Amino acid sequence: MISDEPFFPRWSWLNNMRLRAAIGASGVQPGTTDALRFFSPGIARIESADNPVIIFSALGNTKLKPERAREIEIGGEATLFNSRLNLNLTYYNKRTSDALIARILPPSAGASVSRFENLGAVVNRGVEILADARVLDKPNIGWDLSVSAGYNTNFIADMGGVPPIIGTTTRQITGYPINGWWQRPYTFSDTDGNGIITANEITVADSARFVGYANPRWEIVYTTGWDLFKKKFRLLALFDHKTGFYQLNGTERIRCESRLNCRGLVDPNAPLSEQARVVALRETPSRTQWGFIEKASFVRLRELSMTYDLPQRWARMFSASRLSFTVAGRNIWKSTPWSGMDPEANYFEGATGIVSNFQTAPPPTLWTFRLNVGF
Amino acid sequence: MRAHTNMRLPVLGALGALLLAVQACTKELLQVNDPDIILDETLKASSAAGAQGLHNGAILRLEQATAGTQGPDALFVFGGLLTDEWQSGDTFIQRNTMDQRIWDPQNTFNAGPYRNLNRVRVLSEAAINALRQYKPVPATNIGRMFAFISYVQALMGEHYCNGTPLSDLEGTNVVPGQPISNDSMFGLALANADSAAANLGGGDSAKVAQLIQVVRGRALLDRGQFAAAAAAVAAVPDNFHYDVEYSIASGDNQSWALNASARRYTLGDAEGTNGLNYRAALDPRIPNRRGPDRIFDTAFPRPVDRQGIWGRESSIKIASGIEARLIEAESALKAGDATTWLTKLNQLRGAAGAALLPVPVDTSYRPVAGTLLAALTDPGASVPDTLRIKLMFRERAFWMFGTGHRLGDMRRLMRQYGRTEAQVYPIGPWFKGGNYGDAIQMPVPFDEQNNPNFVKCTDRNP
Repeated sequence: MISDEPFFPRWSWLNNMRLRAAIGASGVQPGTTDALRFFSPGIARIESADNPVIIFSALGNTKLKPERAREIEIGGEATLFNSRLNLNLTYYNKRTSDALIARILPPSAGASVSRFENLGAVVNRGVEILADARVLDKPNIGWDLSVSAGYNTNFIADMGGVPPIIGTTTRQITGYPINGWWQRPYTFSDTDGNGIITANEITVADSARFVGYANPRWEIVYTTGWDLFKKKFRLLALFDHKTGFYQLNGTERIRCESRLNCRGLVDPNAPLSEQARVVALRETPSRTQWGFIEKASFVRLRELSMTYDLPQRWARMFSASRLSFTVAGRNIWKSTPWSGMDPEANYFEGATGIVSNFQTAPPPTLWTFRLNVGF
Repeated sequence: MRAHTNMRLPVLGALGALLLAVQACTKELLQVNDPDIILDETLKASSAAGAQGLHNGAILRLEQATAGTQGPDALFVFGGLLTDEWQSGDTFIQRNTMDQRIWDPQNTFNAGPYRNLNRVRVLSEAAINALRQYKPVPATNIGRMFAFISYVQALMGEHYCNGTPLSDLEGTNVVPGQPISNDSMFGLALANADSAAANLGGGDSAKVAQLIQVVRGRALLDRGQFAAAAAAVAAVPDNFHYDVEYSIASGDNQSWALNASARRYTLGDAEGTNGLNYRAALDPRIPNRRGPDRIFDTAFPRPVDRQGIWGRESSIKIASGIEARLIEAESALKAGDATTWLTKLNQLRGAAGAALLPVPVDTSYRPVAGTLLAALTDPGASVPDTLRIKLMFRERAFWMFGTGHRLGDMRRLMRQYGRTEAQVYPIGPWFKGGNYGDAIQMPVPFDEQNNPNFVKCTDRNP
């Protein structure tokens, strides 16, 4: 508690201040069989009978090591303005050595699809900020506000001698984030001015370029609460804000590529950019998905609740000491540049660690009506 | 008495805990056997049985690679989409783009068949080493493994672009392969056929020897060595066939599963102008049935055309005496001997060849069992023998439908007979919209870019 030290100045607006620092280490073990080269039993039909067989199943990796992370954390907390504002700030820098990652194996090896390997080092660094304020505190009315924000930078610092790992839409390359999106970019121009983009009006780059992060760089939660009517009524709202990342709009891609019912394909009045991404995907030799890797930022009203304390006499009718009624909603509103149904309509692909958006349902909107009885 | 018991319990408990702690220090308690995996050392310890298991495993891998997997699909069906044999009745973009002849190395179904062919090769190599060490008799088992390697190399040379790497495994390391041309791949297939022929002996040796002869003839034909190809298969009897087999336990025949069962594939019928009329011909070599239900993709309502050659557990002939006669016929035609050519073709037809025809899986397919093929008549000489060549390749297509021969034949029509892509492959509008693309072979899959020696196909020549 640095504010209690004699050398620290005394300010009326500062109630207390604490500084902290920490250093820590942790590890992640590979799976129990990830390092092993092994075979599996099976059954083959041979000479009209089912026979037991042994097939090569996993290449393994005798050099596989546990993932080790070392993290330094520096931060502080402060309480200000007669304890009406709390601030909390943390900087972290985490270096993960021998990061475990599923490497795609060349099919010509005739082995498993992938195996775990250790990347040299992955760095995660960023800041976390929490501000919690009691803005208004009167007998009849109150207003509190809280902002919790985190900013993250993630990149592969060293591949540890492992060549770049090339996936269809993601890559692992030194200097770029884990599972970063990569694709061949294109430019387009409606040269004949007819409002329809055709393949000869698109120029695709020769090689894939980095599109962006697969995970949010900023994650912010805003919470605000209002106490009204002599504090008998409380209104609480929680907003989720995530930004600085991209996702592959797999649902729209397959509608354009296979189902043939997306707007960019069937509507001649669709915006040129929307037409271009379909043409680049379907009609250029690159089959590039660049146009479908979209900014997935969003602000969402995650929760909204209203609670009203009912009269005491109503509570006494139930032999209770307190009675209140709550109406709460979840996932009520969102704002996003994402062109699909919902940037959170995704699933986590466990094998690769990549979040995908592909024909998955968005988080549902839920309404809850609750009677709270206290005895 | 009660106080005495109370004192003894904690002592017993402490002793028990101590015993457990000591026991935990031994390997036995901590070492857990996983019954689902077989480690290298376990396999070596089982010696002859392990070697036989690997040999049988290579047979399973061959069954899977040819027609035993879906999503990604096995080579016979997926490669058949690119030809006129099959059309996509599916919503899956991977099957649609292959059917539309779109050149797309990033098609996520590409890696499966390529990996599976290499799995046959790699496991066969492992089986050869194990058989030589632990079970050298009968030698034919070793010969069979070499024959499998030869066979899949011929398939790779026929189906994929020039620049196909073959990587190897050393322990847990991948030894990345260098790109290989199609012709070199056929050369490797011939070398492995030689190794196979040098490792025969035992009860099954005649069958394996004939397999080797047909594969050798096939690879020689691919190289344009027609007379040598005919000589290689001369001793193969008409009724020989080497099969990949399927069962509910080992895996379904996907030519049935994807077509007759799931309706994601539908039988080709004069696809894209140049395609052969596999359905409408009502040929006893390809009994078939139209509808009444529709293909899986409801956005394009057309009746599904089912083949009636194979059911769920039917075997598929990957090499046969039929192929041997067809190789001889083509060699004769190439040498200008139209009489021998026609004789060889008709040797397989009519009453004499009745036993070579498939028996339809049920009575709903047409033509019904027992329908015979009429003898062919010579269409006559033309320059440059267009009609005879056309008939030759039609006979090959119908006799060996769905067995991984057609794509190699279409490429040979361009490479060896001077046909153009527009004369051989499906062209014009594709039935689900857009036009056919320009793929004439399968690309090496994008995943191969994880091989530092590989960038892309050397070329896309036929």
